[in-house]
Amino acid sequence: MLRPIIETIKTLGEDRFTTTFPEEKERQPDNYRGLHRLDIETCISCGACERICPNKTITMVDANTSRGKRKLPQIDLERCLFCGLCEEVCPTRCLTLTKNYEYTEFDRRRFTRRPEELR
Amino acid sequence: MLTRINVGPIHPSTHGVLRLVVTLDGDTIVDVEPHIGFLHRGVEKLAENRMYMQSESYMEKIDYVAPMAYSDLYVAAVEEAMGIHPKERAKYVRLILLEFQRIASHLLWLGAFCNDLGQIFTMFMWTMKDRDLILNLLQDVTGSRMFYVNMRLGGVSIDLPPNFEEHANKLLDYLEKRFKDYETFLEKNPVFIERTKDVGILKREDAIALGVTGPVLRASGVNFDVRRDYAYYVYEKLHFIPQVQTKGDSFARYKVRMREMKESIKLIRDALKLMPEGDALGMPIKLISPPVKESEVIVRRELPRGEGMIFMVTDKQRPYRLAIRAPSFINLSALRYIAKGARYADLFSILGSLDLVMADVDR
Amino acid sequence: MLTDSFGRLIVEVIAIFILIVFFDYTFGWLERKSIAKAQFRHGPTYVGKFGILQNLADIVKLLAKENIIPKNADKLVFSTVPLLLLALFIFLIYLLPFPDSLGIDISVGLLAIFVLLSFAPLLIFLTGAASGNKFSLISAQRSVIMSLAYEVPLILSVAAVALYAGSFNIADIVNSQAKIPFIVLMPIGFVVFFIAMLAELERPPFDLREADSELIAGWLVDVGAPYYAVALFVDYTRMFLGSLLISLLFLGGWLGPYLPGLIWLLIKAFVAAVVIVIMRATTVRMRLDRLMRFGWFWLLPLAVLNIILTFMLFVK
Repeated sequence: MLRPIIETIKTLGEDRFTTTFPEEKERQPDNYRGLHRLDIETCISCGACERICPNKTITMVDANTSRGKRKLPQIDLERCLFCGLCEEVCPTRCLTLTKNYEYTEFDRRRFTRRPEELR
Repeated sequence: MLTRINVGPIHPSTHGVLRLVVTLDGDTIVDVEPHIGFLHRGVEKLAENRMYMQSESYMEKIDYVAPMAYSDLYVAAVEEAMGIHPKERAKYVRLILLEFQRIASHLLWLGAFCNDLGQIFTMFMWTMKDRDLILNLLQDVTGSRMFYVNMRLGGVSIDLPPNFEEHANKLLDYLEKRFKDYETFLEKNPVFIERTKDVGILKREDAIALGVTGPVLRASGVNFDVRRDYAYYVYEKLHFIPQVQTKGDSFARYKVRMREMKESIKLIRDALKLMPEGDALGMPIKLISPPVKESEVIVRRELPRGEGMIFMVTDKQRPYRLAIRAPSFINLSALRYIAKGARYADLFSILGSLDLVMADVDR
Repeated sequence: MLTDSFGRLIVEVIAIFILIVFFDYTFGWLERKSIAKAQFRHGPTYVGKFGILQNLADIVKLLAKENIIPKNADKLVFSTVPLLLLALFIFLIYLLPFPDSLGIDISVGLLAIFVLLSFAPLLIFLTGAASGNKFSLISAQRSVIMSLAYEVPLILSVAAVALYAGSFNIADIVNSQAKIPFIVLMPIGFVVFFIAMLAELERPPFDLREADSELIAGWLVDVGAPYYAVALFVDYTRMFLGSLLISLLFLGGWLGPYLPGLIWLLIKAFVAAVVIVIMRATTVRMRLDRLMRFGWFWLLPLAVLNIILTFMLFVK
């Protein structure tokens, strides 16, 4: 019975492992799959992201760009699985997943991100 | 006088949503009736309406403790249907990542098991710390700590980063030390020993008859492991030895999993040494799947919980029917036979040692 | 000791009450932080510096909630018994002699304490049985069954102490440890007393009453929020009683150089409490029948052996 107690006492001398979240943030690798980022100028409106998404998260909606009115992807963050298939299938690499993961809103409708908001 | 207790869907110890209707005679269990289905999401049906590689994400969410194992099972089934063989280096990379996933899964099991026995999260926190270190390593490789979605047809989506070998070896040295500490902590604790020894004995013939697999089967003395008997990837080259105990009680199941973790460390070390140079990347995701050659495939893998199997009837772009044999479902059905005659407090020791994940039971 | 002036009595009563509240509060904080440190995590950090105000926030939150009495419960018993339990434990602390003549000094203090202590499982059983809920009933039964196993070794190990000191007055027992504390003189007795005290306090490894992985919260499943605060207070007061008993009976109480007696007493009580917390962080819960077996086949013979040894070695 004494050995387990010694183990417990040993850990009292070691450092803590948890991070105090809002003050310290966890490290992230570069290929982290976070929120989406759309480069509006490069998007060719092919719709591949809409077709590959398993969860029907992406819909192509009308949006104004510098090249006129085109269809750009709109993402419903409540349905997104963050699987990364849309990033992989995009032919021009205009849709990427950034390292940003914080998205809290007060209003539920704000989770449907229009193409202009995907920065 | 028989009392019926409802160990309800929401309970600290049922590893998910499981309802057990326990019939007690005083303190002895007469019958246990599991009610499941609270977590059923219809994964098999969802896969019927999606192209092959789109369902990989759903397969991972079947077992959220060891997601890569299911994703590998599914992608292997699709590869077999299309006649694609994984590249040589990809086999090693997959094996290494899968064995890390197995260690992570058993670590979580160990923590949850001690929780069920009455410890207030001490062991849980320690094993979570170690699991966290493994997940950090996997995050460096795949980009995500859970739900990696890194298996592709013929290989993986991202190859191992250049300094992976030294990080992995450092982590493995640390884990070996920690496992010795855990064994001291638990096996020298007389209260733990008496909670798990001779509790929930499953005899050899019963284990085979009930169809349980994985560590539960090996703890009852049956020397069967998919990694040796239906070997896949490069397990034959690495001289893999299944760990078997004969007693069949909760302590034996605990011992089998501890030894399996050590065996996984050995496998990873050997695989890192033998891994060839080259390319491990699989086919990137495209809008049209490659052509399918077989019409029915069966693939088996050794998941951390037991033996998982997929039977797939294929169609041109999507599976026509996907049937998954989930190991936790069968292991749960053995609970009724094991728990007869045990005491009420033993129920949680047995339930914990079976290592169930409810999402695996319900799919 | 019984004082001669009423004002002095009031001051003493309030002083000990403040001591109890102080110990409960700091012990609660200490327990949470040390268990967190042993588990590689932080524990409460936000409320107040180092989370020192966390317990205050919890108590305020609990007391401010609505009290719900389930339909099947026996209203009278359910509402009054937890308060009786609290009163019992607070009263027991008053029976202990504090240095600087605080506290009541009775010539049969030891006996009185242990007799009244054995009321506690009954009161807990009443609360659990009055909840009208199977889980509470089971845990209440377990509590009573457990006391069957542990009362006897507890009293026997204390009997050895009284035998050596020649009196039931706790102040005399402390004073007879002036040369050597009893933990050195009768180590077997100390171990038996410590384990039996853990069972009496219902702390791990003997916390079957509130086995939260099996019975969710045991007898507290259906108590309303304000009574939950009362139950927590009871738990910590019981801990205070237990650690005070350990320090008075075996560690030498208020004896010690340089510092005033009260400070020594509190330090020793804290040391005992820390050891109890480490036990909590380390062990798993025992099963009820094994526990009974352990109590009857191991603790009881050891306690009897302890009495025989004490008699032969020291009292002759």
